[in-house]
Amino acid sequence: MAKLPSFSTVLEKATEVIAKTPGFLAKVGQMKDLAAGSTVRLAVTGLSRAGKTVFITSLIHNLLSATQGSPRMPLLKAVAEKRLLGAKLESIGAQTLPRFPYTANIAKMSARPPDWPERTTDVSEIEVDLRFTPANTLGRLAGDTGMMRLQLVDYPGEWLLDLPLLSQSYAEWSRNTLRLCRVGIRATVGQEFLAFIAKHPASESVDDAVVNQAHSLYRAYLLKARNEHGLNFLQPGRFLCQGLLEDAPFLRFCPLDMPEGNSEPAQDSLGHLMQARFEVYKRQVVTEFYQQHFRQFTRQIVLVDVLRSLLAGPEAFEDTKLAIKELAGSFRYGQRSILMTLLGGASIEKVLFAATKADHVPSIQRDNLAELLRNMASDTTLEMRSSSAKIDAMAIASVLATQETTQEIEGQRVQVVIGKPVGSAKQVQLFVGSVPIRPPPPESWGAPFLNVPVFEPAGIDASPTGGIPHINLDAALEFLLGDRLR
Amino acid sequence: MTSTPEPPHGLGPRVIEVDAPPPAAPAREPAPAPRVTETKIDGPIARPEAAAKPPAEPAAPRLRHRRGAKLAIFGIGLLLLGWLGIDAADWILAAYERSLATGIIASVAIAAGVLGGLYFIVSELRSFFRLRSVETIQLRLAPVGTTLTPDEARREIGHVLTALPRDVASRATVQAYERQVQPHHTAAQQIEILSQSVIRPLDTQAEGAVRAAVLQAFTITAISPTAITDSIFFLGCGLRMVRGIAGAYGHRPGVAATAHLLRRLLLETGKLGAVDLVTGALMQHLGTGLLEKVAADLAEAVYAAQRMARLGTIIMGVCRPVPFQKGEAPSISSLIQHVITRSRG
Repeated sequence: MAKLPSFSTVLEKATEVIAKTPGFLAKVGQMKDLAAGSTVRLAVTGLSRAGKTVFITSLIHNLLSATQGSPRMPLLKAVAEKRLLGAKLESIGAQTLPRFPYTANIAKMSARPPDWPERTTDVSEIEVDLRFTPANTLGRLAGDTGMMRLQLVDYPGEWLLDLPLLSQSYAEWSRNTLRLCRVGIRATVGQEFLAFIAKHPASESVDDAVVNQAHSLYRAYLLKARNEHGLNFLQPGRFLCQGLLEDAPFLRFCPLDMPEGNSEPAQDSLGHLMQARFEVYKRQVVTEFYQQHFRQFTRQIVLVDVLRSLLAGPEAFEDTKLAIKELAGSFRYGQRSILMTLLGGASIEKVLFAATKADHVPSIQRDNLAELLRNMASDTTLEMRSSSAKIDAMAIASVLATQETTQEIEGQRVQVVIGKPVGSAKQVQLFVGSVPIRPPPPESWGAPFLNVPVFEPAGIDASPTGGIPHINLDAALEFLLGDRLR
Repeated sequence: MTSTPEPPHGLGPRVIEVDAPPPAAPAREPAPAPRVTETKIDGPIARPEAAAKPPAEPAAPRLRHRRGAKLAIFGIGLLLLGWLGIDAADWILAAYERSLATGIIASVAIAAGVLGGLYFIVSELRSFFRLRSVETIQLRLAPVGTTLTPDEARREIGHVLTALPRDVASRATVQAYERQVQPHHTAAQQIEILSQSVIRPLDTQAEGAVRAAVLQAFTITAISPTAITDSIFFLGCGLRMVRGIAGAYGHRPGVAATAHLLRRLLLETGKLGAVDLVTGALMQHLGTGLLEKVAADLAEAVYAAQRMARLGTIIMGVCRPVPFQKGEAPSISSLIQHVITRSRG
């Protein structure tokens, strides 16, 4: 008869297997979450300046206020049915990420004069614990009170566009990027960079000065394309918002004209160095970012400043459309069972495309704004729907900053919005023209309009009692979280 | 239609500086009078943009009764009425056969019961018809596919709110609604908020009226001696329930819905009478043991309670200013649960 292994041997082997299983501890954590209650990881995705930080701040403030009798969330059923019993921020513990600056953001927005939160420069995290009365039989069987933990991560929107890099080689990325760069307005903006790399092919020997100059010119092109022309599809994102990696040498790369085919660039060539740095960037920065923050999401809101893209002209519009498509490719969609979730990581079951800054558009045109976004994302949503994820689109404003009125323009009475730009003494009216429900045909585009004012947020109370005025934030939350609060 | 003009094509986006603060309530332009104006545009009209909102669902087709079906229903009604009348007459005659005194008592009892029931029915009907008709409002406020603009929805909801009962609880819910609804809410969102904050508490009151009627129908059917008294009291309870539900919402169904409801109520009454007679006939053949009699009475009573609950949910549906959405209507089992529990106890 074979001798049974000793207990210590079994334990040792088990420990070894556990240590070799990637993400085992995370899975144990998920099981703990499932046992203790429900954790929803909401992916707040959006391109730069789409309003992620303001969305998270307003969401938290309104949830906290809803439990104190604020009437601002009537479309969130748990609030409307008076089932939301309590909401609190998770206490500061041993989290690995910096805490999302909710309090500082609220302080800025409630100051006199009010202002918007600082631009996000690094990743941060916050969790809100919600206590509610279950509405359905299954929930009531589990107890009189249900718990849900909402996890939110904020990060610079520019970084999000790095995720598609994971599936590309340096040569592929270079070719795609330069093809885009040589067309339309990008060609004008990137003229200097394109001229420089034309003089310095990938086969040229490495020269530090050339590398630095090429990188600086490429980065200047990206910044100008974003700041002056409202473009969004700009990679790598860390070139626009570097976070803590400002001086990292591996960030100093740029796309080069790479020969077609699979041939590797020669050792010590410019192309070889750029490729090596690109791969390090992918491995050290993008993969880590994706693994840490984007794998475990089950719900997603994609914030898009549709109005800005529309007003910035056809190129910016198409650019945003491309960015949405590329972004969606980085996530896993569809309904999964609990077991599958534990074994294989989560996938996103519900996706909401939200056209932000809906308060810049008169109410009569808001449905059109949502419809236009639905149209922009139609290619992407086809794929999502086939994986049985639930999808919707709506126009939202996380914080209301305008009022509506009418104005006579060129003999025609039209609806406009009125607000006070940040730092200005006078109020201004904004007339955004007609918002179509599908991309306008080429002959209908007007001159780019980039002068959209940044309106002051409506005055709010710093204490979480009165909430923050918004448009459709509650409807968005009902779509994203409503089923988990039943 | 709204008087707010659509933004015209051709006007570019712009920022306009203003000195004065925004007006609290922007003045509205009077709607221009309808007119026909010639244009210089050649060719076919531009392809109309698809509505951003989902298109309105087509109105439900009106029920068209065939003449034959009407005659058949009338005939069945006449049959049941005759049957019930003969049943009552038999009961009186049987009492007379026993003795003159019991015959007189039975006649007086039936007459009093019928007169009392009729008075009850007439007074319930009179009170019921004093309430406002909800049909028009309900058609316009169907939340899915509503074509109302936010301003129109606000006006329609205003009509609903003015007709609500004026008790303290209703006033509080109206105030809560007014605090929650914002200028940016669409028609569908306004209706959803109205449904949640104002109509839901009224549903609870209406459910109370249904439960009371269910209990009455159960009790009266269990103890009533004849099929005709069963039927009259069922009709009376039904009418009272209709008025109670309509009163809870501050509205009554429209003329067509009322006629439909009363027809259903009469049909249910007739069915109950028929069940009663069939059970009576069966009891004559199978024996009249106490246990069998109690079981038969209890089954009739549960049947009456179930029919009353079913009628209750239908009446709630037609009196409610906002139609029920999926999962909002109370279930029959929840409405008769208390009766079953009591009968077990």
